[in-house]
Amino acid sequence: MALQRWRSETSLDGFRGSLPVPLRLQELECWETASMMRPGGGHVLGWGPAQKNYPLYIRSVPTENELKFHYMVHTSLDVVDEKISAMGKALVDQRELYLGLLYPTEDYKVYGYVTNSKVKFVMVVDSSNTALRDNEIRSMFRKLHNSYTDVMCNPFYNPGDRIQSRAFDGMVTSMMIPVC
Amino acid sequence: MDASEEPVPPVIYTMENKPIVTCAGDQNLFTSIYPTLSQQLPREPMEWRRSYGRAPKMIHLESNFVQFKEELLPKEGNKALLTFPFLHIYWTECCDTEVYKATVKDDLTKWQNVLKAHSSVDWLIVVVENDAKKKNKTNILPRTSIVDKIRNDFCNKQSDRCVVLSDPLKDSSRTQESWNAFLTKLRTLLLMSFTKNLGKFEDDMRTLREKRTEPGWSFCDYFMVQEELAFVFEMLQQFEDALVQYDELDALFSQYVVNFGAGDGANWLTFFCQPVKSWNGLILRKPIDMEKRGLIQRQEATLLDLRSYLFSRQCTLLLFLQRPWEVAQRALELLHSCVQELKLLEVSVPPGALDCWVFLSCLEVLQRIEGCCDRAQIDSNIAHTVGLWSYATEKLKSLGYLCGLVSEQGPNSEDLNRTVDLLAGLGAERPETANTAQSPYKKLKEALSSVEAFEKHYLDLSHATIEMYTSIGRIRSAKFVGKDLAEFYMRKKSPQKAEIYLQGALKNYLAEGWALPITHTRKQLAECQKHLGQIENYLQTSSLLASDQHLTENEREYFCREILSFANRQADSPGHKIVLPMHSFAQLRDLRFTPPNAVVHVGGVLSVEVTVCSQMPVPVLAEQIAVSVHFSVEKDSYRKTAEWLAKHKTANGVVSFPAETSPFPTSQNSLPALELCEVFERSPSDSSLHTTGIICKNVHMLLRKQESGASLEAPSGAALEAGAHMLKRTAVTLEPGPNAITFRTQAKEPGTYTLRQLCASVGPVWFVLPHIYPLVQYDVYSQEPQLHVEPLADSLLAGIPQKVKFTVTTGHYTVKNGDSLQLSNVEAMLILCHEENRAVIYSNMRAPATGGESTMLGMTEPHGKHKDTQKAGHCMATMDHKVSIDCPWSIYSTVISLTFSMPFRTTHSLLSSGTRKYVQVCVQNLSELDFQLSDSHLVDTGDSTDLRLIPLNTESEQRIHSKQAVFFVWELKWTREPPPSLHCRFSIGFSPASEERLSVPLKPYTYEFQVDNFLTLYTVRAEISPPPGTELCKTGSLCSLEVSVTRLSDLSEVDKDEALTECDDYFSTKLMYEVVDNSSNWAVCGKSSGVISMPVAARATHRVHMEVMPLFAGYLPLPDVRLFKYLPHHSAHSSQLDADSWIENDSLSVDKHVDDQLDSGSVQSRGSTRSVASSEHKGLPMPRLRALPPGQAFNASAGTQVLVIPSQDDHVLEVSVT
Repeated sequence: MALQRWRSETSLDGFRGSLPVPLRLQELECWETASMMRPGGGHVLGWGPAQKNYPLYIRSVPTENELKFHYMVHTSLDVVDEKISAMGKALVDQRELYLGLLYPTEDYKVYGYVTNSKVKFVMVVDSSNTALRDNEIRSMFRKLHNSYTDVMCNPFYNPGDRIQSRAFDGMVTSMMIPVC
Repeated sequence: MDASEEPVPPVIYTMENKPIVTCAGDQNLFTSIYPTLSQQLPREPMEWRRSYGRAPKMIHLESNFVQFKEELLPKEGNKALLTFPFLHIYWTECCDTEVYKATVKDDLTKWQNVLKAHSSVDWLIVVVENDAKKKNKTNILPRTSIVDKIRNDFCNKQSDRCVVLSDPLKDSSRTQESWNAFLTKLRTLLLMSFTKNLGKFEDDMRTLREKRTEPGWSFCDYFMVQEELAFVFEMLQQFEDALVQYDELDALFSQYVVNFGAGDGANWLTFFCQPVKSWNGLILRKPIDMEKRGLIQRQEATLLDLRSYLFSRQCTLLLFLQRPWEVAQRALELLHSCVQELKLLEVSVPPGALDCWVFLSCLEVLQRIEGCCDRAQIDSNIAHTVGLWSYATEKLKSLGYLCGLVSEQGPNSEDLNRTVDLLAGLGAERPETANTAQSPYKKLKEALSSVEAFEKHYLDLSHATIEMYTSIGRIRSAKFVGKDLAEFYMRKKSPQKAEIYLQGALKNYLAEGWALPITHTRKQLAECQKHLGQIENYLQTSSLLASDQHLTENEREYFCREILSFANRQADSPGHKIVLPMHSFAQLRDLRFTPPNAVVHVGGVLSVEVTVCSQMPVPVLAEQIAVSVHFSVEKDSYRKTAEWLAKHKTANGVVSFPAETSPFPTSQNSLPALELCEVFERSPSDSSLHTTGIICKNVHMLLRKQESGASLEAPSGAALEAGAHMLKRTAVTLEPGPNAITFRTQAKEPGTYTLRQLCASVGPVWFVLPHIYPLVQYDVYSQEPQLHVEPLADSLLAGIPQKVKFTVTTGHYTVKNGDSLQLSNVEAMLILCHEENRAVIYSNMRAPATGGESTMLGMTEPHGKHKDTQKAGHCMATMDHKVSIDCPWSIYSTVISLTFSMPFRTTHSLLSSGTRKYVQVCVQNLSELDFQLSDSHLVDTGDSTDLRLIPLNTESEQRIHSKQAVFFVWELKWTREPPPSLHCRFSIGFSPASEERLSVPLKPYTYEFQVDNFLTLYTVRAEISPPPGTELCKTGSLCSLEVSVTRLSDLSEVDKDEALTECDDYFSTKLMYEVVDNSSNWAVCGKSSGVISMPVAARATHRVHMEVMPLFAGYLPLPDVRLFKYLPHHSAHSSQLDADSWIENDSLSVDKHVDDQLDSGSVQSRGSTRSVASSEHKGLPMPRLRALPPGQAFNASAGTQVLVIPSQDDHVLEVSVT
């Protein structure tokens, strides 16, 4: 754990970006245990200075409605930006990376997370999936962040390129696919 | 007490609710005090310490004082809190013990009993003391007061339950004190009662909640109970606590719904699952919606009813708490969760009903908030409300689509039926909004009434939403709403209005590189542009879509065919060009020059192979593909130099273009890397550095505005450059993927050509790549014509026909028909021309074009006047001939010098045999060629008829191989006295052995030489005879050597020199002999040389006897006997001598001369004898020696050998084998 913290604090310094990740959790088998969920989802990772919000990584499961999620995640960046600028004033020292629920829609909940280097993660979760509460979402973001840090540590990865890391992909898949 | 006088106060659920305090006892007294009391009670706050660790609160207490009645006391099990009397006060003014005993005590007892019966312990007895009254009866109760009595009678151990209020209506400090004490007491007791009763209530409530898993449990009942608590808190102005009650109810209900969704259904919940029949939205204008509350109480509420009611209460409390923005936020959450819950509970909802409900609710919430905030507040909190606006817009949109209000032809009957059903579900407008012009109800009804009204409302909402989003900087959201609006406009067939929104959205997506939204928006834009008839824009969008990887193959092909079909349609009416940027159509990958250095001479051919990657999904026939070229005149010649080429041109002539990043991250990664170069400027005067710097060569790429990414969409960006220079190809089919297209051009004017644009035309559609970057250039240079003449072989040989190559580098001169080169040559060199020989034009791509002209160059006279200064060694003698050539491009003649080498070296020598003389000529072939020699002649040029040269050569033709020599010998015969010197000319025909018969007669090779003093004057004969008594010579034993020198002729011309002495007509000459054995076979014993005086007369003989000793056994050649002329030292030439010669003049130098005889002869081609003689002229102050010319002394014993036998006492036999 110490190692992870060390990573997230040091290695991501020096670049700023946005990394939205939508994660849509589709069906719910059983609401009590998170491990029983069968999530579907989409991911968007964006990199670049705050005003450059292009996606670094997008994943959405299932893929048939991908476009909708792209729009949704893109629109959610408005709120991310707002929250970041609000946070900049108030919570500089607190290092709260989790932005919480960006905004709800009828069918989905959009959560945000921003690294110290302003890489944004956005996660879109099916509203009906009540198993995923704030804590689960938070830990998922933390996992994403760690994995993203690993991607960044790869010397062959150019910051700003689309993420094609298999490890990252696998981690995202593991989050989006039933764990039961 | 008349109970009927005061009817049970109805529970009025308004904010006027206050905790109830009953008043018993003296009603008139209370009435008189009441105004002050009700005014004073809330004035001071009181700290309320709470149970369960809740934070203490300062609370302003108010009460509703009602007359005490037994009915007011709650019966067992009654959970009503609002009507619960928290405190019972008994008022008395009694100051008379008698009166007290008579009436008041009984009344008090009765009151107490009633309270006890209802186990109510919250009571207070107030004794009001009045000074006026008191004074009257001072004497009656001097010691014990009524208060004491009451305390004694009723307040056992609770003395504080009886308070005294002194002179309440007076304005004195005592009164004030008394009031304060009373109010504090009252407040404390009230709070104690609250704490106790509410605590009890909460406990009961909790107990009830814990029973929720029991079958009969009803949420509605529980709801009513907890709401009671909420009401009380509200009544106590504890809105926060009240809100908590509702939030708990909210959460509980939500949890049940979630559990239900997970299969854990509660029975009571099924009740909420009844089909939605009414969707009249939230009602927030009343503090309490009694209608809905009644439904809940009667357990008839639907889910929407419950939610509506719950939210209306929360809203009310939040507004009390001055948190309107939380209302907005919660409203959005509520609406979303309601929609979700209905879905989860599988409640049947008529289509559109929820949309109506949400729409109405949104507007209701917004209007409610607007109602309690001023404009400025609203404007600064748009972020909170805009979500509702957007949601309402969305819902209205979907209603519009549902009811057929968006289609062009208006709603059909089915749509109308649906509309009627939806309106029916709204019910009648509520009275509280009936008078409001803009009520949500009216709005919705109107919007659904007609297409026009819908449009008006929808546009109003959309514009308002967009404006709000924009004002708070949520550009993306604004664009997204704008896209919906565009869709609407497209449905309404007003693409001109849709376009701006689509463009705006697309620009945004492009700037941020969101591929899928880009594709989708572009597709919409394409349709829009098609409707608008914006041909150029449409074609461009189509081309972008045709190359879009995110579309299906079919869609891509569709858009590609759109372009092609347009191109075909317009093919008939040429003239109008539609210029589109190329990058979507095809991308330039690389470019390859041939020649690779991209430098051609004027007139040369340059080819450019361009690899273009077609993005189209199908093969496209481009009528023309052209590269426009910008021409600039060469300013500095430096660019042509090899140095420049090496520096600037890629080795293989390939220029690669960075792959244009597919529409993906347009913003970040497509930025090219900095291209920097250094600059130094030197001052022209002293070339000192005065400026240095770094120039960024691609500033225009780097400093482009970020937004300009969107300008790619604007077709006007690409202007077709109409340059005079174009590289063209026609009818090229571009297959999907890479295509190689080769352009050829003939270089015309010298200068630098920069490739500027690449364009491909398909019909009237021109795809243009406006700038080819990185910069691609080729250079054309011009050169002065040049003529080179060079032999085909390594070197030219004199005397034989050979080919020379005339290379004409035409440079900028164009060879015309009939142009000729005029050659003026010296006589010694002939130029042979074959008729069939024509100039051949070679075009060499590497070098500038050259015209080659081969001519047979004639032979030169091999003899020529070649220089006497011959180079030593085996180098061939050379001579130069100049050819002057008149070229058509110049008025000046070009003089070219050709160097010919002599193929042969010729030497001669005179051979003697006694008095017979032979002339030997040696011809040495120095060249690499073999020659055929023929017709060798030696003639005497001195035309002395009595001299004959008889050739001893047998063969007339001879082959002389390379680096070999051939000898020719003639015998010299004469009949009369021959001249002292003989001039001869040797001539021999020669021709290259390899070649067949040549058409031209070749001149023979001639060699002239002179032979002097060839007559033999002396014969030298040596003879070795064994020692006497022995037959043979023996090694080690002395033998005698007899040397005889015989004069063969009388005095002749040649003898006349210093050595000749005349004495009485008797001539003698001094000769020196010398016996030398160079091979060390012999040891000469005694004097080996001597001077003899030789009479100049025929047959005069001089004999010398010497002793020699053989050193070896075998046939030994005789030792050499040399003969010199012995010249006296007082020579007339002595003055010419110098010191150097003097040193040389010893016997060794003589030896050398003898040894070098052949060499000196060969070196000196003619007059060799003379030169030898001349060297002898270098006399000494002492007597000098002069070797006799080789012809004058004949060694008769040359070659003879003597057998020497080894001596017997030789123990060592030395055998040398050679």
